[in-house]
Amino acid sequence: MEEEQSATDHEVFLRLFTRFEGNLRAYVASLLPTRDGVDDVMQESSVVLWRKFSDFDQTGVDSDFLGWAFMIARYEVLKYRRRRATDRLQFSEDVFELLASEAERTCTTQIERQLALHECLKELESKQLAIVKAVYEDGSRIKDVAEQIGRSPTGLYKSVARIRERLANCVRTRLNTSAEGLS
Amino acid sequence: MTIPQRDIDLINGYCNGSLTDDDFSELESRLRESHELRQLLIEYRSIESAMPSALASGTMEKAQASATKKSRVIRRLKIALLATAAGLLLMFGLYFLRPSSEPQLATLDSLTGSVRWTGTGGQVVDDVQSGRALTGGTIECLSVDSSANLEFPDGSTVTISGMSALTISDDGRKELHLREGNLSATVTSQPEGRPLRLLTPTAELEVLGTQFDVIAADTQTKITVNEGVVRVKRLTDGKFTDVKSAHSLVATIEAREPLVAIAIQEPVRVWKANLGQDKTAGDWLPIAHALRIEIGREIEAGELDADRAKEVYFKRLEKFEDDDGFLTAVPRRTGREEQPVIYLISLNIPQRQAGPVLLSERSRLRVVGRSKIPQEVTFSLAARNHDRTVAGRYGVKQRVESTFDIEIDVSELRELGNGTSAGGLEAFVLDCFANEPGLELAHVELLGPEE
Repeated sequence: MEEEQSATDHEVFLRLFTRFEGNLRAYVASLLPTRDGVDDVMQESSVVLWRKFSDFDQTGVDSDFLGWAFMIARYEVLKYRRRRATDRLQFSEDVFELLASEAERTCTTQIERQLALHECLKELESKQLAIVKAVYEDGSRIKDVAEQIGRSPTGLYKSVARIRERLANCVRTRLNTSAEGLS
Repeated sequence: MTIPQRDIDLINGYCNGSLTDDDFSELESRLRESHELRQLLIEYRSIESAMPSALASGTMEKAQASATKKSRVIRRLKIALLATAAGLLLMFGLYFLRPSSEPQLATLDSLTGSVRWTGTGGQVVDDVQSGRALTGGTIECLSVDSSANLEFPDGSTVTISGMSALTISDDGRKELHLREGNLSATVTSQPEGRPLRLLTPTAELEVLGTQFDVIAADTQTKITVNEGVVRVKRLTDGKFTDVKSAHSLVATIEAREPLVAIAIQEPVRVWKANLGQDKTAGDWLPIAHALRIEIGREIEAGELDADRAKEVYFKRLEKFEDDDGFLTAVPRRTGREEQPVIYLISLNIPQRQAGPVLLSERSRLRVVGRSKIPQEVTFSLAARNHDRTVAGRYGVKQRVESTFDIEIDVSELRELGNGTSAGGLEAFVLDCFANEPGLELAHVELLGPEE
């Protein structure tokens, strides 16, 4: 019960959740097709994580929290999928399981990815950055953004795809470089 | 990892929310089979999920600045184009000079940018003024934004633009030597048996009366005839053919292809450069050679075992098309001593089997390349009107560094002097130049309004 949890528990939970929220969000985003779904699942997951935090063994290392949080988030994604079973773009069970297992490994390094992305965004042209802002920061649908800026949706889809690919290459290079530097 | 482009497109479609049901089934099937593809999807989605916080943590100023950048770019372009208007000295010797008693052959009707005239007695006149009477000699456009319009006493007109050099003479008939560059001519009826003769490095043209355009480089000449007929002889093998109105022909130095003119088609709004073939300035390095150099360096540095070189080479080569490669900017000395050397890549925009390349305000020029140092690059399109008269040069400066993949709105390309846009015109040459070496291009295309 949450009222039985101490103020210290609350602080520890907040510290851990804040630290790993990005990893968890990336994990959920890897399994769901829309941002709305990701927001819903993140909200539900945070509540469940807090409710069950007393069951979590706090004597281990912080990264244990992430593994535990991935497990709970996976369960919440499954629940969300069941609620939205008729939606388009829902992966079938077997593909979902493959993605879920592999996403855990990838999303462990999300903090490094986010730092690399921060640097990679600086390398974009201003126009590309403006597109990124419109699509990701404002949370608008690409189709709506295209209408606002007077471009065809197809054209903007292609531009966003090129930017996404460029950022992914840049992030990958930076992560590999920093990994080599550590080895 | 090598992921087929179709698979990447499917992942992008999924992330964009634009997949059809059939595409989604195909993606699912591919995800079942491919670990690399699953990894890519997770990677893309992880990056997207990190985007809002990465954007919020420090890139705001740049994004906000982008709104005002456009006007600054245009202002800077005007200054930059004026600064480079001193021009480029073409790297070849002057054609012979005529005796001083030779009569006036033409008048320099108008010009833009920096233009040099070398006339009788070898006298060199920089900053030549319009209205000057021209005897035999050579007129040079010294920069990519220069143009010179010559008018002959019989009413014929010849315009050269961009880095071009034209020698004019008359020994009973007009004779023009276009060593390099772009020329557009409207030739009135010439006397019987004395057609105008135009020579380029790879072709000889005989003109009785017509309107035509020529783009000449060391290795090829492209002739487009808009009115009348031009007889074209390929100098390499002496073969000739008549090019009729609304037809074009390319005479190459290698003479492998039949000398056949093709009809000009309806205008197209997209164009993808074949950098190796379309270049008129720049050093071409095919991808196969570039990979050999890269692998050689890795072996030398101990990063790759020599025994694996062949296997690695073919694996890397698989990712590329046969005509991929890098086009490196080459130095061009400018017209005056105090002007710096610039590094230039110049591409002919050929029509090939399609029609002229029409620019729309909503078209975009996509350029992929790399620069060894951060620097500003000027991207400039030469364009003409539908009636084939040269309209001018339209450019913009962009800062690039390391590997870059940029899109330039055609509406941002502005003409020197009057600031008009290139929208609605036909592009025929693209120049990219910088003040420092190390600029390379790997991909250039014009994206249509719907792309």
